[in-house]
Amino acid sequence: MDEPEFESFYRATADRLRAYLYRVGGERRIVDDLLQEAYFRFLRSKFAGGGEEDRVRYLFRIATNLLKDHWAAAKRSPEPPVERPHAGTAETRLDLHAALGALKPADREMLWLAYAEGCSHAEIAEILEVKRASVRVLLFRARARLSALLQGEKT
Amino acid sequence: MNEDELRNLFQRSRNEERWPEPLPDPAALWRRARAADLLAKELRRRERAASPLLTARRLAGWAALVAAELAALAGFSEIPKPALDALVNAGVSPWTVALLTLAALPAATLVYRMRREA
Repeated sequence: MDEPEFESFYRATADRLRAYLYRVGGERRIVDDLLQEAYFRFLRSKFAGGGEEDRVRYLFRIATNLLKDHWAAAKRSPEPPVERPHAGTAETRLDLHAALGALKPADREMLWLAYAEGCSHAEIAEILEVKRASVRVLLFRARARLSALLQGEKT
Repeated sequence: MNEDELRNLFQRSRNEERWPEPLPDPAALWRRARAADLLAKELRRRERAASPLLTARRLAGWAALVAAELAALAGFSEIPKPALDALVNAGVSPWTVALLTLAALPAATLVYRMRREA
């Protein structure tokens, strides 16, 4: 990958990765550091896998591992995303933001990849390094927990 | 909430996210990764360059130890008979003394190296 190719890849993926790091990590102040570290490791890895989507999955896998390292280093569970988004947007977004904050990190990762990124079960398994067969069950449970939280907020 | 509603909710959330700060500069990231690559390459080159020297030092160390052991054995064979008789009378086998001497040399070398590296 040369510099112009990297820049194009970066422009196409950085916003998506930033949103993932923020919604799963829950701390805005760490997002840009982790984002830069994820791209740095991606470049150093000389990843030569298939096409654009393979690269994106690999990048998200690096980001997921960085989040785990961050939590392990801090020796605490991740803080829920209590910060409010900056721009005034749809009310549903605030509901989702708060509901995600009440979920476990593993649920957040799975839900975000499935519904925001549109990843298949196989892709989620690859990014999160879990068994493909267990994604279906884990995702079902995470979805049920999120639905309960969203329904609870509306009532 | 069904699958489509969830997908819609998440994707709207993702697409509507607004950040006060601009994205970090990709050129700076590229330069940082390139600098790290060059540094790693240089370190590997230096390690490779130093490798024959380290091997030679290790071999020289082994050769010196073997020579010292042989010298000790040669010295032991030169011990006068009355001295050997005295050892036997004291209840110590000459072979035991020889083996202890041979074992003492590598042990002393090891202790010396450990102390130097500490």
